[in-house]
Amino acid sequence: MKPARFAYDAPATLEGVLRSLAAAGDGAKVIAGGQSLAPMLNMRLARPDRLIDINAVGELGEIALDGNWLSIGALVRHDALARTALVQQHCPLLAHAAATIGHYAIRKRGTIGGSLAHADPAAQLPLVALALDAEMDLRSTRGSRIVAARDFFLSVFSTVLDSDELLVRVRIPRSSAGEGFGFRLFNQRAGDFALVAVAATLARGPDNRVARLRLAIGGIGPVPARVEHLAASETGEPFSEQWSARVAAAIADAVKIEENERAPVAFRKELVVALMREALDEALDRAGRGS
Amino acid sequence: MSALDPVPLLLNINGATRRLFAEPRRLLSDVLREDCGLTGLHVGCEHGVCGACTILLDGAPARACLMYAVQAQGHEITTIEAFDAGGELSVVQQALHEEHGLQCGFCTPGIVVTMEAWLAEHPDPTETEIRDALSGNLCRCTGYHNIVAAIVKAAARRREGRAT
Amino acid sequence: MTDRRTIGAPRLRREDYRLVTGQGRYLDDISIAGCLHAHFVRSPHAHARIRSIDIAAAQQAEGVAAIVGGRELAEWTTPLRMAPLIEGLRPVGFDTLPIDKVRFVGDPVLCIVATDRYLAEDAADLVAIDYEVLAAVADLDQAFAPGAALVEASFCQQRQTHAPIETRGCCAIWDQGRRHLTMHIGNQVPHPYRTQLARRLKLSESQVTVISPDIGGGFGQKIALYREELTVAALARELKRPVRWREDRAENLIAASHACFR
Repeated sequence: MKPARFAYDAPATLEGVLRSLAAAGDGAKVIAGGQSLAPMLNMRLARPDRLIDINAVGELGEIALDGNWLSIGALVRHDALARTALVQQHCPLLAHAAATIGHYAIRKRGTIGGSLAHADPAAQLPLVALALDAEMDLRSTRGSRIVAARDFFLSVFSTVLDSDELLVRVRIPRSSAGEGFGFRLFNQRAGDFALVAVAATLARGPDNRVARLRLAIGGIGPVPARVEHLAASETGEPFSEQWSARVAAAIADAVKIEENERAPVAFRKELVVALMREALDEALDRAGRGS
Repeated sequence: MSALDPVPLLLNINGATRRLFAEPRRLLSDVLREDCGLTGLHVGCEHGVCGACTILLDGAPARACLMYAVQAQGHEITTIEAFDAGGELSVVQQALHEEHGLQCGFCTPGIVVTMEAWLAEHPDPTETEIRDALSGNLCRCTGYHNIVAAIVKAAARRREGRAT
Repeated sequence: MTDRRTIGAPRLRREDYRLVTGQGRYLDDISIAGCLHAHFVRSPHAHARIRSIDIAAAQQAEGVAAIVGGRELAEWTTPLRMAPLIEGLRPVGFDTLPIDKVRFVGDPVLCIVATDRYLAEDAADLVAIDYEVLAAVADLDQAFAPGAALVEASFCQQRQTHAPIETRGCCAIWDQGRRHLTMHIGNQVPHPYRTQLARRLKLSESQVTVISPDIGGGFGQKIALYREELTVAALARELKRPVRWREDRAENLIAASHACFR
């Protein structure tokens, strides 16, 4: 399977990339790691007139603390997310989830910007970006704008990015003291996209109840979903041995799971129950340990 | 002349420079195999799943079928042909041979290249970690057990500084 | 006398050196000067009548040497006839390439020969085939519907396929002066393969040489003479140029042999 012809551009600066994007109209695709785009090109499922390679733009590869935020350039590779101390310390859920993406070779090339812009409904990083209230920094020759994760993903493979816009950076609020995270995904073979994935963050409140709960599920619809509001009464209960199981059951009953050909709704509902319970237990454990 | 025409490329492969012409759309896997005669990497799927085409880009494993040759300029490409220096098998290659970690051999170069890089980053892995690291290279012949045993052996020998 | 030092002692393989160092010679590693590349245009329908085929634009595409289909192959080759002497089994005939009907998703309808695979795929984009889609029994529920022809049996096994990491491929070289075909192909049974290939091309066996290099797995998938391989050989003879073919993974999963759900 060989791709259709395309012109190719590898600007060395962000301005150069934005100018190329503006000039190309709808006919260009940005290539970063290529781990999702190249298969589509090779199978001729995507046929851009022009490929704009952003790998030479060094400033897009930086990770830095920015006040209460962790700022991550679009070109940061999944492997770097998993292994960089700043990410492990300040966004441990992101580091943990990134380590589960694909395989070693894929993690060495694939990028956070690429994964978010590609918006696969079953991918880890869109799910985690949503769970962590990330903000996306979008630029074009027309200016810049910040879009919250909950507004960024529109549908399968579809985001708010205009054809001349580039996602240059993701900013994520640093995890707070006492917050624990949990992450679970189920796939049929190692490295596959998840059938269902769950991300959770929480802290233990002073009254033996949860504080600051964030819950998100991926793989059940065209975009990942934040769901803690679906079980407000169960989550508000004091902690007990059954707390996470009750929350998981309530959410699985309330959440909308769409049909797809990968696995039946009934099975995916069972996965939601099991994975959500485990993710919550894991988060509680981490929050309890003060990590 | 159009933007779609072949462009001149200067590629750094296994420490040597090659000049060639290629359309931007030519896969790195095809350019390495056909234009450079480096047929050690193999094409099994052309969409990044099987791992048979794995090379190192600046020392990190990459699927050559998911890169276009034009993207590889300015980077160091390492292929399987670099690993048997002076005709001597590397520790990983020798261990695969001793543990019967190959049959048809089609997936083997991809496994060697991936593991050479991975073991450099993970010198003391558990068997579980080895199995996870191998999951990106598909093998249809061996059932993987002997490959795992080979990597366990290779990791130990590398730690001890032994060739055999 | 048996050598006791052999029995019970580990025996290391002799072929490993070239395989672990990437110096194996699989089919695609063999370079043949002036070789053209074949690519098949395949049916997207499980069952359809071929109403018309328009290759005018494709024939003008860069690098295209030939585009052929069932009618040409019917002149150059014999169809497959299978008539095993098993009670209840009827004889079956199979054209080299389909002429009026396609019978599965992936059925190869046209063969495009071009200077490389990229250009052959570009030409394939320009082909227009008009199909009249026909009813197909494509799933188990349909097969068991009332009124469907029912065969009594009680086995159940999922669909499976060999999936060797090296897909199918071959390279055919026709020597017009000697009227001799050399077929390079990773095949598990080169001798009976040669017999079949010669017969289908209306050649004598001594006019055909089959050379099997290193093979990237077969598991039974690389035994039969496939219609694509026969087409490539016939084209090499017709064009008097070497022609090679490499199947991609999608084709291997769709169109190479497999065991159906049953």
